[in-house]
Amino acid sequence: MNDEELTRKALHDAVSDVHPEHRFAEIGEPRGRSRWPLVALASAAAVVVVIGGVLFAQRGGPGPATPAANPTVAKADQAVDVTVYFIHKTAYGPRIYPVDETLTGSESTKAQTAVNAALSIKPDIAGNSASPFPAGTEAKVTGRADDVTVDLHGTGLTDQPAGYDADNGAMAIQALVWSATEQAGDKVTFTIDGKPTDTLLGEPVTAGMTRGNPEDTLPRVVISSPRQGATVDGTFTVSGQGSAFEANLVWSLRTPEGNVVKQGHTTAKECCKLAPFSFDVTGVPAGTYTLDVNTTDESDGEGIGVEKDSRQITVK
Amino acid sequence: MDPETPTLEGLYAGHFTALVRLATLLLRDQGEAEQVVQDAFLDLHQRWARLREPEKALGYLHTSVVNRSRSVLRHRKVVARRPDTAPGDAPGADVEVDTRARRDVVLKALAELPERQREVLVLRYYRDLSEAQIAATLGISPGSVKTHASRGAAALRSTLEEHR
Repeated sequence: MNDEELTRKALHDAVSDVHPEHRFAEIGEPRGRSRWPLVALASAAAVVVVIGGVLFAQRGGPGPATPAANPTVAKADQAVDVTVYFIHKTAYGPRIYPVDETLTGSESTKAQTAVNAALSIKPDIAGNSASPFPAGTEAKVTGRADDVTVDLHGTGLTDQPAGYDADNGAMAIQALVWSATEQAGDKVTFTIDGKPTDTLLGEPVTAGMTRGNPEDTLPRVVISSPRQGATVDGTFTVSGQGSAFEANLVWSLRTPEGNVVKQGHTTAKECCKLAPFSFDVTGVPAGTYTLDVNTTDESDGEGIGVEKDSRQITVK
Repeated sequence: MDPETPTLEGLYAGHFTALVRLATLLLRDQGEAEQVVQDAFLDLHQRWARLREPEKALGYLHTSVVNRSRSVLRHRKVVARRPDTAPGDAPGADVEVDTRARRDVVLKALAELPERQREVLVLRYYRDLSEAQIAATLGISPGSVKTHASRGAAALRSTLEEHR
């Protein structure tokens, strides 16, 4: 018997007495028993999100959870444009959702501003877009160039919060990593009260954490423009990022009564990975509308595979 | 449906035990291994209707089980809890003590290997995956698979010979 065969035999022998009980019946239970039961609920119910103390309600479509409306935060004299990342539940598990915001701050402290906003989000009743960081958590962002340090201050930061699993914790950490590196740098080291830590929210952290793979970290459709609540002309451009089968995305513009006034399809620049899309909507009468951009249904009409992003806009 | 298209139930019936054994080789703990594999199937169940290529589901399960096992190991390291129990049923009259000891030597030797070497060895010699399949499962290059496999196998053999 050669070395390879010996290795193969040793590994097979080592677990030959492992006889687990099959529990397929538990997996075949309705989706409500799944690890993310609220995803199923959110597909049929309004998705209610509390962000920064402001309540938004938005009707979910036929697909899974719809990303939250953008948070509205008081504009300041010194306004700065930042991208903030929030946790958002999708059919694929929790993801971090980028929201472009104009917040108080300056160009030199954009990362601090973004991290503050990511931490300030409050858990909502639907379990959607909630930060599992304990209430009152504060952060100080220092460093530049390659390495950014996020020093956290608060209680219960190292332990997994009740009701959250590893995926939530990992995404919460990614929300801060992406927010902190939006301006500069690509590595983030977390400390708690100035001291190194091995865990955050029960998840292991190491020095120099980087952004996760976008496919595993971001939602499949994100509208970056127009922003939530924007007022636009009768002809406007919609842009964002999408990851869809054959890069196909469909869009519609609906009145508050649900009448579709415009619809069409577009393609992202690349198939099956997050890639930019952009299209023009023309000749829209003045009024208020909901803009939806959906991935296409890959499941032969079962309607399960659709993910979408939405914006409420006003056409002047 | 195409009779060749796998079903979730078929995958479970055909691979659950083998995947738990795979995870046990990675984790050295049957209870955690069972949970990891059950979670991987639960996750697959939720994605099933959206799978474009169900025939790739087994590959997805391999990746999912390896990644989840890695998370368990990292979490275990953090909480400094390392189970010292051997997997499998409680020792009984039908399992000789030296058999169990022999098996535990292999599991301990695996546990002492670097993470990637352990994963590559288990996928190659327990699951009999090709270098290309292992590369796809772990998201590394085939060249890295070759390197990890040869180093891991040498280290494992060396440890096992010490215990002969």
